[in-house]
Parts: sequence; C-alpha cells; structure tokens
Amino acid sequence: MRVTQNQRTSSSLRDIQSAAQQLSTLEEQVSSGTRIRRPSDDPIVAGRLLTLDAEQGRLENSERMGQLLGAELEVADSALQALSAALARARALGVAGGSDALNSTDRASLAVEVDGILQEALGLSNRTLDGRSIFAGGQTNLSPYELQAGPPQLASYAGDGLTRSVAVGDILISATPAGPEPMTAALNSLIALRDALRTDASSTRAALDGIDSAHEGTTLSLAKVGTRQGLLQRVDDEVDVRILRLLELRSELADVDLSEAIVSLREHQVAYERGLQVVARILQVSILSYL
Amino acid sequence: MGLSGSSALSGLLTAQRALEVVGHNVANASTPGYSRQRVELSTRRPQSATGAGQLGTGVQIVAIRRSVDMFLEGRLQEAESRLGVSASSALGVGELEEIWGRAGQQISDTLTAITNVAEEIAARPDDPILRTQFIGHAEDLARRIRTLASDVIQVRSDLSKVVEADVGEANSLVAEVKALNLEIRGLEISGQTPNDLLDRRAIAVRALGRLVGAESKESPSGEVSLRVAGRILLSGQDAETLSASNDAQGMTQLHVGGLLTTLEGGSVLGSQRAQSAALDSEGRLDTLARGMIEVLNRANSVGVPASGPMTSLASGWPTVDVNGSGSPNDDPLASAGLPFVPGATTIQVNVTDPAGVRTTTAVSFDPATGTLADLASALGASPFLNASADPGGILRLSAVAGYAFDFADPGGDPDPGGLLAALGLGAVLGGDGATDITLVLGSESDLALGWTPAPGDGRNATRIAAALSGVAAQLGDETPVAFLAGIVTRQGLVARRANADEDSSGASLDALEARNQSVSGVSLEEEVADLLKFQQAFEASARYLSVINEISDTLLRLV
Repeated sequence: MRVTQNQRTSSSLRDIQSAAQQLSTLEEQVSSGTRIRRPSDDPIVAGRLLTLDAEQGRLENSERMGQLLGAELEVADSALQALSAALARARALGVAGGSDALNSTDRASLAVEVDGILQEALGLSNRTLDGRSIFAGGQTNLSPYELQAGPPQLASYAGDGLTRSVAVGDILISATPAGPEPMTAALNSLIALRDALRTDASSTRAALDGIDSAHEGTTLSLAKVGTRQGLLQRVDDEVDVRILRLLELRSELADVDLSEAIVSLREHQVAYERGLQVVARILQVSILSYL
Repeated sequence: MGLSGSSALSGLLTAQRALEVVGHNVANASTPGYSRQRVELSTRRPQSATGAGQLGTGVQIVAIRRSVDMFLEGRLQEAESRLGVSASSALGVGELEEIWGRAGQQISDTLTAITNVAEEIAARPDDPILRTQFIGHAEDLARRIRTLASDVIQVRSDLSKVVEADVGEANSLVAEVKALNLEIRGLEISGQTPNDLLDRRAIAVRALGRLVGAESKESPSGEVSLRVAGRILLSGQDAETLSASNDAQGMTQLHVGGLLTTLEGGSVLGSQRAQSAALDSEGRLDTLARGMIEVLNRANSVGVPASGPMTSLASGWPTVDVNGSGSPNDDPLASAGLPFVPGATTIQVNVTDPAGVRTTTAVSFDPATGTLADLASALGASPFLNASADPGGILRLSAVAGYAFDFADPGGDPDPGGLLAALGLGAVLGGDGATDITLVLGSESDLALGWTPAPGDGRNATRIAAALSGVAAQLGDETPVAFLAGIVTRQGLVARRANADEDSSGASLDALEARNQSVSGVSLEEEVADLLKFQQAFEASARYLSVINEISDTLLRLV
C-alpha cells in the first residue's frame, strides 16, 4: 500500500486530536469532580441523578420540617409540664383548704393563690410559638382560651379543634393537641377550686376531683406529645440515614475517583506530549532531506 | 543507413512532459481532492528498414491519466452521505442535550423547591412569606419551562436555516457539476483527458453526497448524472432545483424539482432528524407542562384561599362555540374547546353566611352532556350563590352580599373530573403547554391552603405538595421529577447514539479516505523518484543527441 504525505499528516493529526480529546475529558472530570458533565456521558445515570438530587432536596426539607415540628412539640411539652405542675400545686392548696381546721380567711387567702395559678394556666393554654397559638388548632392567630366573666365563670375555647399535621420523611406527624382538652378541663377545675375555697371546706374537697381529673388529662396529653417527639426523633434519624445513603449512591454513580483520574490524566498528558514530539519528527522526514 | 535524431528528440520531449506532470503532482500534493496524474508511455511507430526488420523511432506519451479507483470513489460518496447525516444530526442533538442537561437540572431544582415550600406552608399556612416564596417558585417553574421550550424551538429554527444554507450550496454544486459535465464532454470528444476537471467534478459530487445524499452515475459519454432518493437531480444538461420549506409544525421538508422528497442521506437529513428529536422533546416538555398546570390547578381549586372564601369568581378558560349555534354556552363542556377536558364529577359548594356558618351543597355534573349554562344553573341552585354563563363563554359566580363561597372538599378525591381546574377556576398556572405556561394566580392570598377558612389550616397545602411530588396520571403515572429525568435520559441516549454514529461513520470515511489516498494521493518520494528518472532520461536523450551530433560532424569533416 502506498503511503503519502497527506495520509501521514491526516493520520497523525487524527491521533493527536484523539489524545487531546481524551486529555480534555479527563481535565474536565478532575476539575469538576464528576464524570457526568452532560447527559450523553451516561444517560441513565444523568436521569437518575436528577431524581436523587430531588429526593435529597426533599429529605433535607424534611429535616427542616422536623426541626419546626420539634420546636412546637417542645413548647407544647414545656407548657403541659408547667400546667401539670400548676395543677399539682393547686391540688396541694386544695387539700390544705379542705381541712376543717382552716377558717374562711385562710381559705380566701388560698383562693387568691389558686387564682394566680389559674392565670398562669390561662397563659400556658394560650402559649404561642413565633406569634402563633399552638393549642388553637387551625385558629393560630387567636388566643384560644378565655375566662368568661360569669357567674358561673367558665373557660371558653375559640379554637377549632383542627389537628394540624406536618410531613416529615414520608409520614404526617400530628403537631400539638388542638384543644379544647386538656386545657378547658384544667382551667375549669381551677376556677371550681378557687370558688370552692371561697365557699367552704367540703366544697373545696369536692373540687379536688376536678383537679385530679384535669391532671390526668394533662398527663395523657403530655404522653401524646412525648410519643410524637419520640416518633419525630425516629423519623428524623431515618431521614439522616437516608440522606447519607443517597449521598453515597450519588457519589458512586457520578463522582470521579480522583486519584485514578489524576494518574490517568498524567498518563494521557505524557502520551499526548510524546505523540506531538513523534509526529513533529516524522513529518519532518522527507526524501528531500537526503537529496 | 542514416542516424536520425528523432528518437532522441522524442525522448527529450517525452521526458520534458513527464517532468511537467511530476511538477504538477508535487504542486498539488496538498490540494484537496487532487488525484495523482501519471504519464503512460509507449514506443513510437517503428520504421521499416530494408533487410534488417523494423527500426524503433523513440518514445511517445499515450495519455496522462488520473490514478483513481472508481469503486472507492463510489464508496467514498456513500460514506460522505452517511457522515453528512450523522455529523449534522450529532450537532443538532448535541445542542439539544446541552440545553436539556442545563434546563432539566434547573426545572428539577425548582420543582423540589416549590414542593418543599408547599410542605412548609402546610405546617405554617399563616406565614405570608412562605406563600410569597411559593408564588415565586411557581413563576420560576413556568418561566424555566417556557425558556426551555423557546430554546428547543430555536434549535429547530436554527436547523431550518442550516438546511436552507445546505440546499443553497447543493444547488450551486449541481450547477457546477452541470457546467463541468459540458466542459468535460467537449474535451473528451476532442480526445483530451481533462484530469483536473474530473477531480473538480468528483469533489462537487462528493460534496453533494455529504449534503443531500446524492448518488452519481457516469455515462459512457463522460457525463455524470445525479439522483437524490431516487429522484433525478441532474441528467445531461437537465437539472432540477432543490428547495426547502417548513410544514405546519416548523419541520423542514426537502423538495426536488418541487416534489416532496424523503432523503436517504446527507447533512440535510441529519438536520431533519435533529429537528425530529427536538420536536419529540418539545412534545414531552408539553406533556410535563400540561401535567404541572393540571395537577397544581386541580389541587388549588378545591381549597379555601388564604384570604378566605370568595365573594366572586370567573372562569379563566372561556368555552367555545363548537357546534356553531352562535353561543358558546350550549356546547357540552367536554367538547367546548377547553384545553383540559373535564370528566364526570361531583363538587362541594360551600357557602359561608355572615355568622361564619358554612352550608355545603354537592353538585354532580357530567360534562359529556352538560353545558356551561347547565353548570351555571346547577351551581346557582346553591343558596346565596349566583351563577351565570356570559355570552363570551365565561362562568361567573358571585355570593349574595355578606356571604362567601368556596369549593373546599376534605374528601379523598375532590372534583374527580377536574371540572373546576378545566374551567380555570382558582388556577395557579395558566396556558395549556410549555410555550405559554404562566403564573395566573392574582396574589399569594389566593393560594388555597386549607379546607376551612382557619388561618392555621394547611391541609390543602399538603394536597398541593402531594400533587407536585406524587405520581400523576397525566405524566404516565410518574412524578414530575421522574418524568423530567426520563426526558433528560432520552436526550442523553439520543445524543450518545448520534455521537457514536458520527464517530463510526467518520472512522469509516477516514479508512476509505486512507485507501483512496493510497491510490490517488501524491507521494513525494514517488514523485522525486520519477523526477530523477525523467531527468536522467532527459539527460540520456540529450547525450544521445550530442553523440549523433559528433558523428555528423565527423562525417562532415570527411567531405
């Protein structure tokens, strides 16, 4: 087969261009850290990366949602614990007031203390987070609990009982108790105790049942909030694990093995430079040099 | 017997001509398409000498021929045609791939962002900042889809211009081949071998192969005829004109002599294939856009706006007078020109009185038979709600003063036929495809986040988030991101195949080109060898003449 100068030039150029292209690809991979620069690099992986990135974004948002819900549950937990403690203090006052040894002045003084606890419980029932009532159901812009003027004085609820839920991971977790319970029972039992203390010892003793019942209701709500906090923690941990797995999978699919890529880049660089030297020498050789 | 210088003279002249051919070869060693020329020598007609047989009279040039392999030339033309298709197609789909790769990621990110915000809103529906963020993302989503559609359409338009340029070039080449045919034929009739013109014609014919997949055939008279996909493009001196036009979809079509022709090769076919790929991706993007419009609007239409129940509302999509009755209000809604066709459905009409008490009326409606006027009548039957179908095909709803209404439905599948969204009631996104998808929601307070007017009710926002991230029948039971990923994967596969085709046909052409060069290319070594050979022949002939001259002088001195 005849070999002409044009053939040698074309063939050399083709080889050099091919080497330069490989070099350029490796340079891109090393500088970007990813082997997928465009969909045709690996179409299946390119599509998969989109869904993985979307899933990662959703899970990271789940973490934020979990933090929001966690903050609300924490505020609810602290409010309910404070309410539970207030009811316990009120009960102690009620037990003391139920004693026939105390006169009406003593009981009136205890009634003032219980009234203070009532105001505290009202404040706890209208607890807000970031300006939003947490025990009002959907009526987050209202202070849901009020004490009616009476008589008889009773606690009223302006919330709507809507159980709000927050999506964390793949599940909806209910937020704080929507009301009216256990707050209404607690407030009404405190009103009843205060009024009983103002009346007599036997009424006071009778009012203690209401306090006990409200305390049980509060404890039950606390347990529910605690359960949700536990669930949230488990889901949150699961979300963390899922994000880690996604990152690992993404890395396996798309990331360049840097050490391998750098070694390969160096090899191709050397090959490219040698190619250039060889081609330059070969193309210089001609019969004309020997005539 | 007398000594003649004619042999020497023929040797001198022949060597001189041969040297000129060598010089021509060397001069054109790098000329694209040049075929090496060589002289064919033979002995001149001998003289009859008395008693000693015939006496040679020297050398002559029989012909100066091109070194060509006709089989290879045919193969090269086919390879050019294939490379034309694959290179042009790879260029177009490569552009599409770049666009989709970039925009696909942006749209996916926006989809994720809007879904995340919808979930946050579900937890904090009373936060106007989140609602504003949602609107911003919805606007971004619509804009990104529109931009992508516009970019893809631009690629098709650019490819049309490329085809027009290719067709213009092809017509010039046909005219060139036609002129060369005439010139070559004239020269061949006069017994000459127009080697350089043959080369020029071969170059033009190959270029036509690359542009439109033209096939050539040489007649015994030396003329080349051309065919494109079986249609005659050039026969003798009869040439047809190539032309390009765009069909209703903006796809470029090729005509030979005014007749629509389906090409079989060449870059024009490659451009057409890239246009088809672009059109296919436009269709898929359109499906995504329509899916997003429908699922988002359907979810938003069955909630209570953040600003509370509505006092008035008008449909966003007018019905059309399809049956030609003169009114758009008496056509069944399923065939009244709505961009999204509704199905049989039941919707909840909630009317809130001044005291905040809500009364719910269920309205069942079958768009296959019911008209806009029927729907107005059915909705108007709800207490304290006025409904009418205006002459322009718009449904208008208004509550009696002090009252308000909404279509919130806590049920699992509210408005299963998508009637409200099909009419554009409570729509977030307008348009009916990728080119015109747009945000139509008036303000963030129009977002329907709850199933009740309570500011902390975010249950419908949860429904919106689920619609944005869940599988949708409109998208072939895929999520929007998965559907988008499918399109990007497809673009990647198409581009990869096109690149592989280009590499393969390029390698094939290179191999053929190398073989052709080994036949037709100029080898400097060979030419220098010829140069020395003919130089020596010239010198030998001159030396022979000198000897004859000396002999003649010797003889003359005897006189």
